[in-house]
Amino acid sequence: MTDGRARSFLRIYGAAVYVFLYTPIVMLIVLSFNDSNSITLPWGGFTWRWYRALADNQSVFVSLKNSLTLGLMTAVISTVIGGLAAFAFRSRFRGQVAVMRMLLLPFVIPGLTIGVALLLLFHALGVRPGLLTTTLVAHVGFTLPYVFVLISTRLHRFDESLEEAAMDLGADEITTFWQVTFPLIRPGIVGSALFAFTLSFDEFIRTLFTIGNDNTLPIQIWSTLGSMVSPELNAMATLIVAASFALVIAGELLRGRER
Amino acid sequence: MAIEGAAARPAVSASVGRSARRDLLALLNRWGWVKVLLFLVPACLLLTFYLVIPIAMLIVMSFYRSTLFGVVPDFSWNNYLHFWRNPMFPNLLLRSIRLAVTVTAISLLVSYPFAYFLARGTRRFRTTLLILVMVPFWTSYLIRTMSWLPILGIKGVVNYSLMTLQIVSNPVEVFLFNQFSVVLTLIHIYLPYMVVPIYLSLDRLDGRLLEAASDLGANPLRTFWHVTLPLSLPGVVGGIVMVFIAAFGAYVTPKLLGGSSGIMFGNVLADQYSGTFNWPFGAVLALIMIAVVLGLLVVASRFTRLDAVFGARA
Repeated sequence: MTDGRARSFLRIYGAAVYVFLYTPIVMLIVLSFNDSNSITLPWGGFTWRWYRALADNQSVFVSLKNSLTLGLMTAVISTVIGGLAAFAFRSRFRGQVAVMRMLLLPFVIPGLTIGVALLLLFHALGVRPGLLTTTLVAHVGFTLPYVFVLISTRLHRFDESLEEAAMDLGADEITTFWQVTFPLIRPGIVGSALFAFTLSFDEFIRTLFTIGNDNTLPIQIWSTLGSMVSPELNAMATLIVAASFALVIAGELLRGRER
Repeated sequence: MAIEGAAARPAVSASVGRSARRDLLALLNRWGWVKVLLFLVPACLLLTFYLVIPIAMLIVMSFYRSTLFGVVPDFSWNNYLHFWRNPMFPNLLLRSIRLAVTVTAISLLVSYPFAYFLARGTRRFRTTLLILVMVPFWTSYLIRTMSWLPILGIKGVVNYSLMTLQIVSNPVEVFLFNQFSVVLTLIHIYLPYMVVPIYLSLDRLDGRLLEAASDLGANPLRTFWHVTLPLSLPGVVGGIVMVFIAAFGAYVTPKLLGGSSGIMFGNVLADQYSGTFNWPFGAVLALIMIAVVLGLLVVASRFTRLDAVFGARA
């Protein structure tokens, strides 16, 4: 398929898929500025009303603070644990494939079953569900395989002769790590941490079953959807989407810069 | 910070610290596996608490008995029998599998030409176009599900447009709260799961193979069928696995947009924990969900190396 007709067909087709992918999100953003009490059309004029209502909503700020704290802690812990595991995989060891499969297993187990299974575990242990206890465990477990894969991929591309050179020049392993290895892979690691933060910030189903009485932004959206549907929700969703987009693009740029 | 602290202390202890560090490094070098083990312990410990013990608890719970006064330890197959005896549950399971298969099949049909376009039809804007596919992959499916509400609803954008264009006189109810809205939304949410692995396998494909095929007289269609398609199979299988698992495990989308006809297995499973509080039966449903997924993985692994699909490099 190299002739012009096929090529232009592919282009039109590609554009159509992008339209499909982005129309709902664009509609959501547009409707968050709609001066009307219903969440949909007709268009009643442009307004900041829903964003102002959001700014006056104290519970949103509590949820936001919770989501940010949780995301930050998840990103740090997950990056350290996942990074260490990725470093372990630079050497060969027995049982490597088995450990690798176990690290990747969370990718394929539906989040809903993990959520209810964690609920059982914490109930049996007598741990009271809460943001920085049970939900933190759920989020670190959820983000770990992503971080592990992203950092492994980065390490796989790493030129080991740079480390050998440092060692030949008399640096010990720890010095080599902090002076040579880490500075070179830092953008990749920061990028992975950003992804972990984004995943945690948007996570819903594992949170629902482990959070108890606390709220994160997705949980608050969920409970609001059950009671009243107002364009304020569109405004909240728009801000979350904007934040996620910014973080993901920053993460991509950081990881892509060194390719 | 530890290094700064050491530097502030008298020189004697600093040199002691340095030799201790040298000893430690020597030890680690002699037993390389100690280092590997130390690095793996946190991850393994976490996964034990995140995955291994919780799933073991599901298995134990599935044999317990649910009474009016709570869950009683027991060893009985009653919860499993309850599933098979009531035709509602096996039917629901089959319907959810059918819905997930529909979502997966349509996603594949939509994604393959799209991934082909990304891999072969773009040059200058490739990175931007790729990031545009990846971004929804990382953003909340809750919000992406919710974003269909104002579009498909009775007073939604679709009905509004149809009425404005005078195609229909009254709002049409067929767009929301049924299987159609669930399938459409799941395709929308999980399309990137299909596109990305197929794109990666097409991108890795060596262009010289295609040239060789056409030099040897194969027409574009034959080249595609005998060279491109087989070589992109790992991506196709990876995408099928990812989309099926996500769609089959769906909870938010059918709950929010499914109404009563679009309800799925995950909704009934979740109800055992939030509505009817039958934890043992809920455990059976969760185990069945995991079993379906693992079954799919076994089948898929006959077609391709699954480790590679998920980015492993062992």
